[in-house]
Formats: sequence, structure tokens, C-alpha cells
Amino acid sequence: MLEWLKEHHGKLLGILLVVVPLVMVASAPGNEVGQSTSEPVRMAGGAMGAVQSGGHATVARVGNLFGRLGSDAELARENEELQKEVDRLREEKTRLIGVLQENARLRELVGFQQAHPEFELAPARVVGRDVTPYFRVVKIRIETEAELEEGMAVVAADGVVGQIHRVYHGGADVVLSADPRSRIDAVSQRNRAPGVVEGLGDEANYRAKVAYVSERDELRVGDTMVTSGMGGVFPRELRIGTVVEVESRPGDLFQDVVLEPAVDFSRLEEIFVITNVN
Amino acid sequence: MPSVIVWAMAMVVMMAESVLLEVFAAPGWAVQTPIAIAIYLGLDRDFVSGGLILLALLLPVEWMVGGMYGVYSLGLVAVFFAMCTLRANLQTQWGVARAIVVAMAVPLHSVVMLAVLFLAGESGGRVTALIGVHMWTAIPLVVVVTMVMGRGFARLEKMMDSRGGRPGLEF
Repeated sequence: MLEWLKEHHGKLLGILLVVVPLVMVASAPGNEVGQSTSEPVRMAGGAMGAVQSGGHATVARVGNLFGRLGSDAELARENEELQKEVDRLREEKTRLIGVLQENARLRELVGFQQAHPEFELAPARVVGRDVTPYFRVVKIRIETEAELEEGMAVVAADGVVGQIHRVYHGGADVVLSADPRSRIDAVSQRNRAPGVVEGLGDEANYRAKVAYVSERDELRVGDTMVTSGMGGVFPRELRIGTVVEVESRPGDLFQDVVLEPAVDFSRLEEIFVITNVN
Repeated sequence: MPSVIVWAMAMVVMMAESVLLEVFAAPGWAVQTPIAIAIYLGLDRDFVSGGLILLALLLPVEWMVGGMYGVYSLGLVAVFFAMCTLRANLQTQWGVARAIVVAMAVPLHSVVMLAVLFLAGESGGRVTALIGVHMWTAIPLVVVVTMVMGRGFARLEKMMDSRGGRPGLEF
């Protein structure tokens, strides 16, 4: 047996390389968002999430270090005593600004919680992003013992972030509303014109389009789109974004509407998973 | 260089991309390091060690990608096989000839992904369109990253391999 394996190990490896991804494809729940994740995948993802969380903290620290080196070079002309003092004060200021900014973000989040007492929210922190240009997925680490499930809505103080795609031990993948697989049932806050917000997956920004907006419904640039509550994922009246382009062509059934998300996805740090609605 | 070290370095490279994309908030700058790694394994490692490393990377890669399981991996396996086939006819350094092959590997990866999505009945929608678009736009970034990474790995390999009378680190 061992001899046979030694003789054919190259062929066996070639077969395995093809079979393993095929098994993944066959056992995958599909390309849709919010379908259940198997236990082995949850465990493997949990371990990787912990490593990535550590990596995130390290890279952030290294980034701060580079920032400080740049400041030192700029101050090299000044005398040594003053330079030390300036460095110390700058470091303190940077730290305080960071604390103040975090404080402001947390205040906003607390405000969100107070504005929506009916939601049970689980706080989470963004630690990574997907490595392809096709999807818009962020990886989160959950900061409580809350049980996450695929399909749960994820929000920030400004509005809708997306929904949970895969759950791991201690974390999850969140598909942003800008992901091309994301579909959110929406209405215009001004005149209740309905539509479906679909991610565009644009390389340069996080915009989405509002599909199926009838030619008879009047949408204007500046209108706010909110969740309609239909579909069972997102509660009603959560801000999704603002209309930035409306184009209607004679003879078409629907208008072309482009949406700028309410949440700045490039600066996502703290977010909330809605684990239950009372 | 031992396969375990190559695997660990590949993991570090992929994790670094994911974390840097998050820290510097640059969604459009995904350089697809998994493709670069598959190309390196196909061109610079022998079939068995390269294949084993790639096999051990498939699940982490899928975790990093966040798409439908297996689709991205099958593309990487196709790229690896193609690189193994071409290796004997290519220059051994990371020069222009290899850059051209890398540029061809990116559309190959996308075509395999599209084929798998089509066969799995998931071909509709914007994901397919995006894969089609990035089939071409991703080429420059992937070429640059693969050339830099390939040269870096090759240099490290020389440092660790003291054969041929070269002074170097021994493990």
C-alpha cells in the first residue's frame, strides 16, 4: 500500500487538488447571502479570525509608529529638548484625539441604541476585508457572548451596514450593502416609493443602485432610502443611503437610481449586530 | 525552503493584504495575493511540494475571499496546473517572460471561476459581470505583486538553501 502511495503520490495530489474545491462547491449553500455555515467551517474561521484580529492590532500599531517617525524627521531642525517635549505632546495629543474620536463614535452608537430600544444589539469590531475585487465583505470580531446567525442585520450609528453572511466562533463575515450579492428591500422616506437596493461592487466607491423603481414614482436627488421592513432581515426605517443620481428614459419600466450609502464603509470600526427585535 | 515555511509566509501575505485593506480602507486595491501565491507555487516549487502547500491554503483562501466556497479555489488550482505545465519552457528568473505568463494567468483564473459559477447554476447577476470586468483590470496589479513576491521568495530561498557553496542560513 505504502509503495503504491509512494509511486502514485503525484497523481493522488493532482486528484485531491481538483476534488477538494469541487467538494466545497458541491457542499456550499450557494452564492446567496445568509445561508447556514457548517460547523468545521465555523471552527476554522474562528481560529483564523483570532489570528487576523491580532494582525489588525499589530498593523495599526506599526502605522502609528511610521506616523511618529515622519513627525520626528520634520522636527529634527529644532533643538533636542524642545523636540522631546513636542514629541511627547504630539503623542499625547494623537492618543487623546483617538480617544475622543472613539468616544464620539461610541456616543453615536449609544444614541442609536437609545433611539431604537426595541433592538437587541451585539457590539462588534471590524478586523479585516475580503481579498478580491469582486465582493465587499468585512470580517468582524464579536465583543460579547451573543449568538450570531446567518442573515442577521448589521448596523452602525448612521444606518445599515449589511447582513451576516457566514458565522465563525467569535466572529462573522458581513456582506456590505455595496456587495453585488446584497439585496435590501427599501422605500423612499419622502414619498414611500418602493425599490430594492442592490450593491454595485464598484472599485472606486461603495455605491449601490435602487432597482425596480417604477417610472410613475417620483424620486429626487437627495431623497433618503430606508428599509421597508419586508423580507424579514432588516427592521423598518433604518437609513440605507441618499439618492445621488436619477435617470429615467422614455419607454422604460423602471428608473436608474444610484445611492450613496449612509454609512462610510471606508471608516467602519465599531458596528452592531441586531440579534433580536422586541 | 521547507514547505511549512512557504505555507506560513503565504498565510502572512494573505492576512497582511486583508488587514491592510481594512486599515487603509482601500476596497478597490485588492491585489489578489492568492493568485500570486498559486503562480509562485506553480513556477518555483516542484509539483508535489507546491501542490501540498496549495492544498493546505485552499480553506484559508476561501475564508479570506468570502464568496461561494470552492469557486475561487478551483481557479487557483487551474492556475497552478497551468504554471506547472509551462515551467519547463520558461526562464528560471522572475523576468519579462514570467511577467507575460502571469498576465495570462489572471484571465485563466477568472474564466475558470465563471465556468464553475455557470455549471453550479449561479452564473446570473452582477458577481459574474464583475469577474468579467476584473479579468482584465486586475492584470497589472497581480503582475506587479507576483513579480515582487516571486523575487522576494526566490531570494529568501537562496538564503536558506546553502547548496552550491553559497554562504547562507542553515535550518
